[in-house]
Amino acid sequence: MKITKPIYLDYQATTPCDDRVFEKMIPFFKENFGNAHSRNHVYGWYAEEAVEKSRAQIASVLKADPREIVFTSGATESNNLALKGAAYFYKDQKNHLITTLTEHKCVLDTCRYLEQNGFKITYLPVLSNGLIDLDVLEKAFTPQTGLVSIMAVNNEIGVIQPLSEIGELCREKGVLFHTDAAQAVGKIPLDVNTMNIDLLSLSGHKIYGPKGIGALYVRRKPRVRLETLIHGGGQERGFRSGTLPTPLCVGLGEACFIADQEREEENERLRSLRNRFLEKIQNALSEVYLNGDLEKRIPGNLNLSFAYVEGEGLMMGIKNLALSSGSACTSESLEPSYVLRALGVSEDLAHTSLRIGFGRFTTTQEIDEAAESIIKAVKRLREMSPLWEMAQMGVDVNSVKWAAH
Amino acid sequence: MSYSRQLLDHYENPRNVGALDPEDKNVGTGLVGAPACGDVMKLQIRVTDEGVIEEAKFKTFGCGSAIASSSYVT
Repeated sequence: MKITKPIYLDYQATTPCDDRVFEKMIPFFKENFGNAHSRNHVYGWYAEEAVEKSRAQIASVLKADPREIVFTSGATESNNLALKGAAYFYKDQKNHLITTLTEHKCVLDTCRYLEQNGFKITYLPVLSNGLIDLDVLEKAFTPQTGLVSIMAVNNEIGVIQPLSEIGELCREKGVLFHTDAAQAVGKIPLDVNTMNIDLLSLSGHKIYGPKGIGALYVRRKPRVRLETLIHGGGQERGFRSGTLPTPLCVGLGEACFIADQEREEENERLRSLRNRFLEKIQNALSEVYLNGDLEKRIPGNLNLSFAYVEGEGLMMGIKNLALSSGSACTSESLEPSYVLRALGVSEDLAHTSLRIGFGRFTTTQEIDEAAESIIKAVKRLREMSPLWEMAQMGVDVNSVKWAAH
Repeated sequence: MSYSRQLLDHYENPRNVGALDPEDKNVGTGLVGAPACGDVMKLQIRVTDEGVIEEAKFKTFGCGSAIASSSYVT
């Protein structure tokens, strides 16, 4: 029996490694296996040359200097290093950080850790479209504020935060600006100088590169200081000890290069796929709600609530599609997505949401098949949904007093 | 984690989905759960004057297991 894999629509979770990236990595697993830190022989020189080329490729995407790029194991480590590193280095002068309620868990959890260790954190709310209110940000600054950490592109709803405006505000206040750009590289133009970004995290596997590698941009002028988390041989200018994984570094550089080169063309292609998909869904189904702003959003993401159909139940009905739900039956808690809750999406609608991610290898045929499957499943499940039935009879489901359980 | 064959069968071919006339004096209707928690089940039974359940119908909003267990109950 031939098992066909489901259509992959979860590009915000991870992406396949592009063949062009993979090909570039192979020699560094085999004949060019040297340690980039070996200064005494050609094995090391080869590896070092490759790593430095990759560092330059990454810097070029951010309009940064190669010496400002620190390799890490991924965006989680980069975010940890940026937040804890800056917080601890400047703790005697500044002990307050500002972030948002819709950050990735690795930022929020790091902030919780810092809170337990005496730092004060402000978690900014977001507007109903998922974007921050700059006035609210401005009011959150205190004389003790040392760092603002706001993600570039949200992983659940794909919305793009106003980086330039945030950067300008931070610079004006003399506060460091860190952004988690894991979902942003290759999707939006980035420029650490015009955007006044001091620290920027990125990841390989979100941009068709390998898993297990990422980078942190650390501004040199004016110099940003960090307390290191990983001690050892002092590699990466002391920011991050440990032998560099040359093949992964090479992969990350190449992935950044390709993602940036093809960004505009790819965005156009994805936008037309996305519009085609959304049109099909909206023509066939009523009461489908988009979570997050449509315009200020990367084209490869949709987050839709299909009212009256529970997300996990819906996912079981579309086994030919691989995507994520904002519902929570599969996660540890029974709480639906905290990102959607922060947007003010009601709990019942949050339970009916799907995150649909399109990417480099998504085809029109896949889009059509996905739309058709979702429409079919939603129609079937609505027929057996007591809430849909009540809504059709004119009962306002929100007015019913439900006994929570 | 994967679901059992029996559960998948009840999810894909649920038995007794539908509604009975709630105005019928022999029909009893129960509605439990809350949309905010992610599951709501409506179960209806028609009971004869002799006290025998002759028909049961359900509608469920919920995950696969909630739908399958509702089907199984009927």
